[in-house]
Amino acid sequence: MFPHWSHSPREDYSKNSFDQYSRALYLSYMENSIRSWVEQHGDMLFRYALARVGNRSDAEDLVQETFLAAIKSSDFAGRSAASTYLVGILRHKIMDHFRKVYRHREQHTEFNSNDSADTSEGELFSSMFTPKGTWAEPVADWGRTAEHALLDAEFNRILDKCLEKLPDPQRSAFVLRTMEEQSTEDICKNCNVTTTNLGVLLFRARTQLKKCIEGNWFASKAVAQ
Amino acid sequence: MRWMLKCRENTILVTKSLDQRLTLVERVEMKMHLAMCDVCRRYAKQLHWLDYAFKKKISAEKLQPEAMERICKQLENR
Repeated sequence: MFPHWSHSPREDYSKNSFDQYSRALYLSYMENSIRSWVEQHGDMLFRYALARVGNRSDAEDLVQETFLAAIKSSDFAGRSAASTYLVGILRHKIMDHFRKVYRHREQHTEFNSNDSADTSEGELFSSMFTPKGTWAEPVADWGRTAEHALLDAEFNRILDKCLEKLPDPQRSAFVLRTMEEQSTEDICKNCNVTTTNLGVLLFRARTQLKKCIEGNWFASKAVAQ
Repeated sequence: MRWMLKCRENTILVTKSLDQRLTLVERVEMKMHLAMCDVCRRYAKQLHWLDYAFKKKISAEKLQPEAMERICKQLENR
């Protein structure tokens, strides 16, 4: 619930009519409200930004800019759908972020990249199979190492690293699909990409993640066994 | 319906099944192949497990406490 001010702060708490004590009270109320507001919406906004920009530091900055813009905006006080409003601001900030990063590109969508234009899994896919359609390389046997991996801090770090290594459009596609469980229709609609393109992105993302995790985690564990 | 898929064709269905509904025919084709091919069975299990692992991990993402602090301070000092 957004902290409800019964009066607009500007009307009743001008510097002229305030004594020092009341002003200190007001400031501390404001600080507590800001803090509880950040605590209430911060995680959600952070996850939203992290899914799209792929690294924590940029995501944190975007969350901060979002809150700042919301506070400054004059029509913010008393908004009932605070989280929708904040996400709206965040979306614009993310667009600006991508515009800065991909200044030379014409399209400024979240799936901005050559990958989006591909309509077939192409070389990556065919390299996995022989001309007869059998596996070109054996599918690694993870043994029993998968069972407790999720509890391991080192494993979670590897998940982080492997996710960060993905190119932007693949990571966005995978995170939107896996984390937010958005339907493929919604992702296609919101991110301006076709179902086929999305399938290609997801396939590449999963293949690369699998390879990265196998290389960093399971290989070492199998040797240890 | 194709009675015996190649592993390559089956992989297309397995990856598709993670994100979209397969048709009835596709589902039967895939299940038949998986019943007979332990390599593809292993692959399918690994892909499902990866999705699960990332889902658990990503949905637990939170703002770090020091990031939360920093943001609050910046907002308070604006």
